[in-house]
Amino acid sequence: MWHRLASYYLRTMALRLVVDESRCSGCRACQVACAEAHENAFSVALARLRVEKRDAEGIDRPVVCHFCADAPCVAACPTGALSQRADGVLLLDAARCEGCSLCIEACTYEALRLHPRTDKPLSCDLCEGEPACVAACVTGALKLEEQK
Amino acid sequence: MTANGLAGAVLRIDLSAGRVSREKTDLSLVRAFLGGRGLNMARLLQELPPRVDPLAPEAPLLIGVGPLVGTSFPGGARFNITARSPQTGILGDSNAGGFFGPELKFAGFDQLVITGKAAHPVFLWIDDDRVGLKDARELWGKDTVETTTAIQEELGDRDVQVATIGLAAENGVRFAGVFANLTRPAARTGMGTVMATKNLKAIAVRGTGEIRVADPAHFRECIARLNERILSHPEYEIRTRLGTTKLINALQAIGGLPTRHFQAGQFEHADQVSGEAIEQRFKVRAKACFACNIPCSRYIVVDDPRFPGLRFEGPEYEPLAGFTARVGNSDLPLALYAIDRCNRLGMDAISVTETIAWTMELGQRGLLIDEEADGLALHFGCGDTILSLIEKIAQREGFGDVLADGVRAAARKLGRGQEIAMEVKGLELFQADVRAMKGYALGNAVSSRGADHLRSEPWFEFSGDREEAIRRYGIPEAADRLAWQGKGKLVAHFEEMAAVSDAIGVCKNTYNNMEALDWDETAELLSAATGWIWKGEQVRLVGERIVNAERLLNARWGITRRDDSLPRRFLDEPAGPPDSPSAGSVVELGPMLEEYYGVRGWNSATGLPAPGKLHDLGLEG
Repeated sequence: MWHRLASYYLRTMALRLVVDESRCSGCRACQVACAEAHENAFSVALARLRVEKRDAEGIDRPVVCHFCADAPCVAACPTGALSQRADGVLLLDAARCEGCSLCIEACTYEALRLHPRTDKPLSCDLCEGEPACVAACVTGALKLEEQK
Repeated sequence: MTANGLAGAVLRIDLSAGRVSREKTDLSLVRAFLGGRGLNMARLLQELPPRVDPLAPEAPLLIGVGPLVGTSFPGGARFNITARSPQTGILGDSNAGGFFGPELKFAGFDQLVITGKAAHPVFLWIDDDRVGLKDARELWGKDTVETTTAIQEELGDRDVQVATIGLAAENGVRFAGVFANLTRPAARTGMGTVMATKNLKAIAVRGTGEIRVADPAHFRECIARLNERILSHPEYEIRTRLGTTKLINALQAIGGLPTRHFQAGQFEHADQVSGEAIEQRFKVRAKACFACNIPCSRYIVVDDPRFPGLRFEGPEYEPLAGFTARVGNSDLPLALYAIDRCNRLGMDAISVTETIAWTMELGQRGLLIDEEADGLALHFGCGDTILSLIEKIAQREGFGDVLADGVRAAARKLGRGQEIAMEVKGLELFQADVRAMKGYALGNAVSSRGADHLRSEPWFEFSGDREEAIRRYGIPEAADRLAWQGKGKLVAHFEEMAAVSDAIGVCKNTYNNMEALDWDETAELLSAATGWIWKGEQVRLVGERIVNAERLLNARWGITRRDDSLPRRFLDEPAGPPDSPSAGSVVELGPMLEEYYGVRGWNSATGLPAPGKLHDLGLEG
């Protein structure tokens, strides 16, 4: 057990989602897979990442959590509900979250969104190091890479 | 919310009274018809006033989305829009992908039932369970792109999904469509025309809800197998690169392009207007429908000084072949511009290209002189005539007014050219010469919405796999595109697959053309989604039920065996050119129809379902 935990932390220590916008087909399979993995339901609004789409201009742009060092969303949280693991991954203590949405406003990349019904942030946890969004992306627009 | 793949509710909109109401989705109808196209047909059978004019306020306009729409099914994105067609007078029905269908499900609706007529132009705004009508007087007259953008700006959300009509519908063009995601048209049979007469400019949807299935783990397992099959399919690579535009070269090779209004099966400039040519000449980016792992669509940026700023998602094969081979045009940028104009004006490119090509052939034969057609040069390939007629049709101006009701009506109005009008039951034929593909010939003759390939899409006849043909249909020739034998069985089978595909809400590229799931596998997936036990034969029966329900609807409007026909050209004139692999072929429609009616259990004299068949399908009474 300890071995699996240790290897998991080693693996996730420097993992980040990397976006290649030029490859994105705009299909939103990443969002569907994310909601399925976290909510056991099919939805776009419940995904922990979003895809900015502008059909007329042909723009499809995945927007993902950057797991910023000293993340502004965490700093903005007045109740301590949002915290950050050593590897940068966000942790939400839902019981302490009051749904004030200050974290959403603080996000530099407009990546963090609120759950449409609970008003709590949909924070990305990188799926324990095996992100469902990356597995669902057939074009290579979303990748998992080790941060240098 | 119930965990059965459904959104759970039907939304009724009475535009005359400005009233909306909700009811639960009737699960007994879902069991019999699944959803989407099937649920729309069930509704029409129950609620359509018998002799209602297609453009009367009380005529219902339906939008249905199936139980797999919005799930992780790759390309589970489709919606069907259904009404009595103002173009053909019979069943009207059209289907589109993109993101509109899933959004409706996420907002909580399996079906919209729209009746009445608003006092002034409005758009329907569905914001989850908050539904209302908004003023669209400022939007009336705007094209599909302007309307979509304006609505998203007004609502302050670029992720709002919009399905809209364009100017052509407002002007009463009878083949005007409904356009989602700008260039995802449900364009056939004039559903946009119906929307316009209801003063309904657009439908905007935002859905933040969720769809749940009965057995998520099993559903995931089925989808994983399906994804594996799609990704390892031999056609995967070319479909992701070229999408349906691959068909220009494929049909050129067998002599099946509709060149100069079906006067030849090969176009000498095919290589200049092919999907490959687009890929080589212009900046292209892959695009996909909702949750699809085949990015078969493209966003193209056309670099041509004559058409500054020309960029859009597309084209698909149908408009591309229409504005090139069918009208004899080798100018690729001009064809792409023509397609963009049709999309913006909101017209069906198949019907538009037929009316233009028909006009050109009349000119070629001396049956119509330039002066009768506003002085336009009536010869094939004339770019000015092509572009001019598009605008004239949309405005119903000059000769465009003659064409704006479709080619059958145009021939009647002129009293000329009936024998070369390429239509069945009033709907214009797609972009392929069916003398080169006998199963498609039969499919077009019997299709429930008039000439159409998507009601069956019997691709198997291109396979040449005679052993498989014997296994499936007991007749080796079913695998031979130029043979007529076995095509009744072939078409009946693919009609049922196409109906199920439209009923569950998935794409025919995967479900039919790639045969990604057989009946038993579909049943397994539907069992995981709905929580009911499905057997493969029950799924097939849904398809058969839908085909028969549509035949019953059409029978109300007088359709019989007599109408299951094809343009004379395909029956009498041998296919050319002389060195083509389809040279000399004509369609043996009679024997194919006999076989088809036999398989269907329909009376071969009337072409109508026998009472026993209706009883077996639960459709009597």
